[in-house]
Amino acid sequence: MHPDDELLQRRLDGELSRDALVDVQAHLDVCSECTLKLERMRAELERVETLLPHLDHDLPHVDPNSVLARLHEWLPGAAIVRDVPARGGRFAFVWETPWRRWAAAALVLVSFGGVAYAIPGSPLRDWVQSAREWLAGDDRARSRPSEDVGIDDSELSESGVAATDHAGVSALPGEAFVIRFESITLGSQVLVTLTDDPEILVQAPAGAAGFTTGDGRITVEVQKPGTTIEVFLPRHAPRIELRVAERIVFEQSGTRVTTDSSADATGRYLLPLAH
Amino acid sequence: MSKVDESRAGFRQEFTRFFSAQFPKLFRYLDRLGGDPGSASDIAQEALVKLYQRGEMPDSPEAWTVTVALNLFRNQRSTERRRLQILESSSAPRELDEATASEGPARSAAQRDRVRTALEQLSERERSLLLLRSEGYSYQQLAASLQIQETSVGTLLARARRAFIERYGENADASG
Repeated sequence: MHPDDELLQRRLDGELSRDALVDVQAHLDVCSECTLKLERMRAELERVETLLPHLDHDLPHVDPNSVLARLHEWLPGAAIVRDVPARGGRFAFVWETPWRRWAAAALVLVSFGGVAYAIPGSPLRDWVQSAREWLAGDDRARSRPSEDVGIDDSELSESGVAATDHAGVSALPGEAFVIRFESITLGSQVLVTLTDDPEILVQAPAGAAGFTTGDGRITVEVQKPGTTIEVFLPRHAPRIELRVAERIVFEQSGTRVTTDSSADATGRYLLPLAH
Repeated sequence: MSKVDESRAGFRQEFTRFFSAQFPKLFRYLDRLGGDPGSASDIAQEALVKLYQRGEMPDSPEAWTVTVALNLFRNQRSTERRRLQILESSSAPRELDEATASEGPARSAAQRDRVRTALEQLSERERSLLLLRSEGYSYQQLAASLQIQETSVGTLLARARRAFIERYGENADASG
């Protein structure tokens, strides 16, 4: 049987296993038609490699150490901030400060205005204080719990994760992916953010939800009332569905999003899970 | 040095090695894809910085970085409505006078124009397949980066190369 284009191209590009290479070569040794086809493919490859360099510009010199030095200088909170576990494991989530959050926080602060802040008993004072701490980047939030920041062991949950930390799972989206929410509790909701990262990330405050993963799916069991589950979806993933039981509450197909909720000012979607 | 500091120092070292190896490939891919070297450099750096911010290497860091870079590239095009540079596409290629002293730059600009046009006539997936394979990414990495079946990469690549050559030839014929 003649090898198809897939096999011939793999032969050309050195992508065949040793056994497959032996089989294909044995056929080529006795089949002039396939040999000619391979030679034509080789000529096309060489032609492509001759033409593409016409598009090139000079390679800029970029020193990675200089890049990292500027990163640490301009965004102190943007240092190593997140550890993603091996499959199914827990992880300690720490804060990250992307540019969007800076802009969103500034916008909200301005919108509230000084009058609201000045009102006696206004909750805005506490909010501003929290935002100030968050923007400045709390050192305690940046490092792992139980290491080098002296967190009291009594603050750790049974899983060994500090009470203020999150836990979750990540996965690559593939061609189609489903995130299913079960055991919905009162007041629980999902906050969906589209990102430029290639991975799906689903997380919740430690102990508030359980996660199981499978081929093309993540199942979230909500365990505490009022839980907000954060879902980060790759912006250009082919297809991702968020389901509550069999009801689709959020559907992403490439850059097209279908959901009953509208995006907020920062482009995120807040989806209530309970009817 | 604490274990955390040792771990981070080790990751930083691993990252800088990865950056030095991958930046040229990413830059060339993005430069060929968009025709804008400044933007290509920015996006390549941003994608690599995102990897650093991740805190640890993913299973396939090359594919991971390409995916992020391509997403950033797409975002830039859609949000800024950047028009890809097609050099002198609206004007007919100049007729080269044999007596012209410097034939080189004029010929290469026209050549670049034809190659760019041929590339633009491919689908986005075909373009990326062609360009990424040219940078030496494996079939497995191509499948992961472009979210296609690994068992189809060879066939799709063969089609992309053939289509590119045909478009280039048609454009060369059309320009006389």
